[in-house]
Amino acid sequence: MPTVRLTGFFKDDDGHGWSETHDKDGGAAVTSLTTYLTAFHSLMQTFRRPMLGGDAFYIGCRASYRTADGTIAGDNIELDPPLRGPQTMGGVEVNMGAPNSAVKMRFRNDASTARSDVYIRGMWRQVVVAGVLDFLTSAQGVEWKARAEQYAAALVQNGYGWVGTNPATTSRGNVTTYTQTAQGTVTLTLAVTNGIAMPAAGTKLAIKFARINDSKSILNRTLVCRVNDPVTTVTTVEQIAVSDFETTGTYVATRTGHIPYAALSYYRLSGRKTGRPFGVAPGRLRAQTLH
Amino acid sequence: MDWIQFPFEVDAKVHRGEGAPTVRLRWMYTDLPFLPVGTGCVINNRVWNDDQDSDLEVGQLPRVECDFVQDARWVLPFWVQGGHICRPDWLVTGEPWPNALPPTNYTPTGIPFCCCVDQYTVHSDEVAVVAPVTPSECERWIGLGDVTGKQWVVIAPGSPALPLWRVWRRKNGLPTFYTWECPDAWDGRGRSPPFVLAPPLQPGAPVAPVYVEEVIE
Repeated sequence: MPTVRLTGFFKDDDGHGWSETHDKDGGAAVTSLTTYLTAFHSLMQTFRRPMLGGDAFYIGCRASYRTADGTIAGDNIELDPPLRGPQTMGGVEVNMGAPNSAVKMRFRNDASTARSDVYIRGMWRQVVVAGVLDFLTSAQGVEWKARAEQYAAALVQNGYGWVGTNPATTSRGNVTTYTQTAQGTVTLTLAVTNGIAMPAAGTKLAIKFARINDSKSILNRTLVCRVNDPVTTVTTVEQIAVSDFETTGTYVATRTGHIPYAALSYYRLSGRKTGRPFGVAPGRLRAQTLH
Repeated sequence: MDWIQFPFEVDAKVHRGEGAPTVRLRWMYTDLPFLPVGTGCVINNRVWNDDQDSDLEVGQLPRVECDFVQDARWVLPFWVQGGHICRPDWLVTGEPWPNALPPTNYTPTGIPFCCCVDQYTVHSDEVAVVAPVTPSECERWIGLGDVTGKQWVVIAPGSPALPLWRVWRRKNGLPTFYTWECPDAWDGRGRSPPFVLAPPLQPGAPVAPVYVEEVIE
């Protein structure tokens, strides 16, 4: 059951770029990305763009998913020229504040057992007053929050969400021993405690290890491993020099799945780094002498 | 063709099939538009995807194995032909492997010759091939010059109407492509070089090497 990943790309006019990602359930199979991409593009234009400051731009989007035959297929839309946010609201200029300030929108699933944060950047500077979010004082703050709620409602209604831990396929248990292999990798022996076996032999996945050797082992971290045959042992992909096994540890082999947004829990002023802008870097430079 | 924020390179597979080789894939900026929506290209920038760890039949290797290297200074050389795709139908499947195709020839900088005829000539000169050159499908023709011990490579457009000229001078003693430098005044940006080089162009017909008659340094 593939998950379609949809990413919107933004920039401001001061050399900052950022992206925003939402996932959508691809159902039994995805036959065409075009539907997903155009629907997301429409959502971005209709609901997300009105939340941008006058000096911020929506520049395009991307859709991709893992195909059944072992590839990631993707499609892109880039706008030329990009779409700028509204210049004024109520006769007042609505430009961005600091580029790295963001409104964190906390979404949750139906059962309130999983949460995901969406960081909205490029918002109007009137949204932040005296270092906190203010959706009451100014007309712009009130309006921005109304638009944010419309955006959140559109995300919920259209089945967007995120990729999170799937408890039905996530295996947990103990690490009972490990050995260094001749290749320099490490083979760990696992004992399942939650009744969910590791996936088929040969599968490569990230496993989080903890508490091995009284929490002092180099292995106590997330490592990419390949499942062996039988599936009670896994071998790391990277070479790791380990000392002797001393005490039992634990592992979590997280498997993910699509979780739809069910409701918006709260807003909070937050920070999120912006990067180099998309689409404005030089395509080609003149010939240069290299030594 | 995909979104990037910084140029980077990784190990990847662009062939589909048992025993497909691993290639080095470098992402760089381009002015070109994206492929049409619906192409569904499988050679993508995996950075944007949630799944970084699984083995893909075609695509970038998992993060821990791909030897990710990033450098914001990397740019495409200006002599790369934009928009050249040898087999668009393989964008959605990957190139079949094994296949009976001749091996792809690359420049020393890792760009296929079919994307950059200019550099092909420079490369051939390194093995002392100074021979008549047939204009390529992109209608460039090329000449080599040798003036008082200094070798020049002159690359001119296929049509006299195009003002693009490029002149390369080889520095002494260094044998690779990088030792060819492009003088500032003749950088191929629409200005003709300050000397006369070539006979009238005959697209499709072999062109003899061209000799520099006068060099203004």
